[in-house]
Amino acid sequence: MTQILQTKILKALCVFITAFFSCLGVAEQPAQQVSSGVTVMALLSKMADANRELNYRGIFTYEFGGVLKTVRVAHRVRDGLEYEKLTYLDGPEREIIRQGRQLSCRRVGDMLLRGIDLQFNDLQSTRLEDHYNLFIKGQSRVAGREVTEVHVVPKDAHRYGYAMSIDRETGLLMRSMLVAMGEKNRVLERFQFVDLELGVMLVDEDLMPTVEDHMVAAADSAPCFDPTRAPPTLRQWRASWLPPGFVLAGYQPKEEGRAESMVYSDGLAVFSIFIDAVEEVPLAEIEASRGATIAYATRKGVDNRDFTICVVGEIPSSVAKQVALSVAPLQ
Amino acid sequence: MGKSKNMTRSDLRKAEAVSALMDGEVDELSLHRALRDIEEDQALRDMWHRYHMVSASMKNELPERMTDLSSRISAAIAEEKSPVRLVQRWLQPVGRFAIAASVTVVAVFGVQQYANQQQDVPLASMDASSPEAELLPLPSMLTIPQIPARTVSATQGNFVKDRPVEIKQTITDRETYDRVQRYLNDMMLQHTENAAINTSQGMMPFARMPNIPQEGR
Repeated sequence: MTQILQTKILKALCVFITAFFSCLGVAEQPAQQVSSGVTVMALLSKMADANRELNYRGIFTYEFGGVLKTVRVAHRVRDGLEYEKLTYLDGPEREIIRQGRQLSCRRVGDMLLRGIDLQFNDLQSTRLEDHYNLFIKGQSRVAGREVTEVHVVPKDAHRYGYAMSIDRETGLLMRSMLVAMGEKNRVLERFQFVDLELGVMLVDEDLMPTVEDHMVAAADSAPCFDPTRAPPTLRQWRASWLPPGFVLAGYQPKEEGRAESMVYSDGLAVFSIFIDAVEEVPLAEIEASRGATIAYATRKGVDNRDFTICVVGEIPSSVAKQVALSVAPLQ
Repeated sequence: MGKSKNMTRSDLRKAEAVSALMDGEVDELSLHRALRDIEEDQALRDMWHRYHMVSASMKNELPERMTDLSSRISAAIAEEKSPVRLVQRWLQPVGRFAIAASVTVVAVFGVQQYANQQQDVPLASMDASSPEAELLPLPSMLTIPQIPARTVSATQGNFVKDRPVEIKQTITDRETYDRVQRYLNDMMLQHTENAAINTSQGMMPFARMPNIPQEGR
């Protein structure tokens, strides 16, 4: 048992080191290589499917601001349902279990990433290409697999850029860097597989929690996309300003331990608006960040009641602030 | 089973032909007949195979093509085992320390760049994108530069286990600070779930997640 573990750790380490240095070497590659016949949208669409439809097991790293985390992932599809288990390999033992997502269920974010032009009753029509320039930048290698480098450059200052490495064979996202565009473009976070096994036979036990400290993630709090369905009527609030391209992707009414929330996505970036009646925050204004995630909280008085409005997401903080200040009761 | 015990005259003749063929003592007519017989008869083929094995092993030159599958499998199994043993041997105390040391080097090396980034030194930078450049079909907008390798000692304390939420506003009162931290952590966690459901990169939001939620959430 320990033998296998040692071999595995060693293997993962070797792959990690290789991946790490191959990453440094990207600059030496010819800057512009076009793989003919493959459109970027087709690649992104394939990527959207791959992450959910494949059976795989692997180890990925996640880095931001001096933090490096290693996570093992097991993903399995059975009877049209997705099962996933994430195990944090360093720090306190913890696991995340995601169960029973319907494979056929498409969310708004999925649809946008697939390049499907959404037409809602009260929402503007939007496409990914309207807000990002998409480029295929050639081939590379991540975790020992051939990948296509895709760069996603925002057309405005309302969102971040992405450097993605997409597995050539399967379309799985092998590496992704979130980049704050500016005079000095800064990488805010890096996600990267260091080891990946595809098509592995996973059994139920592989996807069950094994440590006490685990969390079972909410499976279906966002509705599947249905163009005929009207937006949720329970909503009491609206953002009167939204960055172009972001559409309402989910709504969560207030319940025990959870704030009322609205989720917006442009296909790649996601932000949430939380409205809390309770005075959780004793400050008039909070600007906070953690890695790529920022939060902006403000207070709003409505009919002699104070509400905390908080916008959280992987978006520039000025955008979050503008959204938060525009939130008002829906009437 | 009866076949080996009671060889017919014809079988005997064929066996003799194979033996002769092995020794290179056949004329052209018998050669063709022997080859045809070998092709049609499993027992003869086995015999032919055995003769070759014996011959090759006597000359100490067992060619791979002649070894049968079972021996190749056992060879593969033997090979499979050896690296494990090697690794094990390698992981004796001294080796183990060496590996640990190299891990530290890589980790510290990696972390330093991100620590740099905190001081506004980019890990990677994209070329400043002018509006004109955006119109070109393939501008080289995202170039990832070489990261300067620097020798770092682990005592510099750059290694960060995890970070609290950084709050821009100054909070002097500890209780308020903790409360705001808790609130922001909770919001970020709820956002994580939202983001996981609403993007196709579901595992990435969870990688961002700071802490596991408390019981009852």
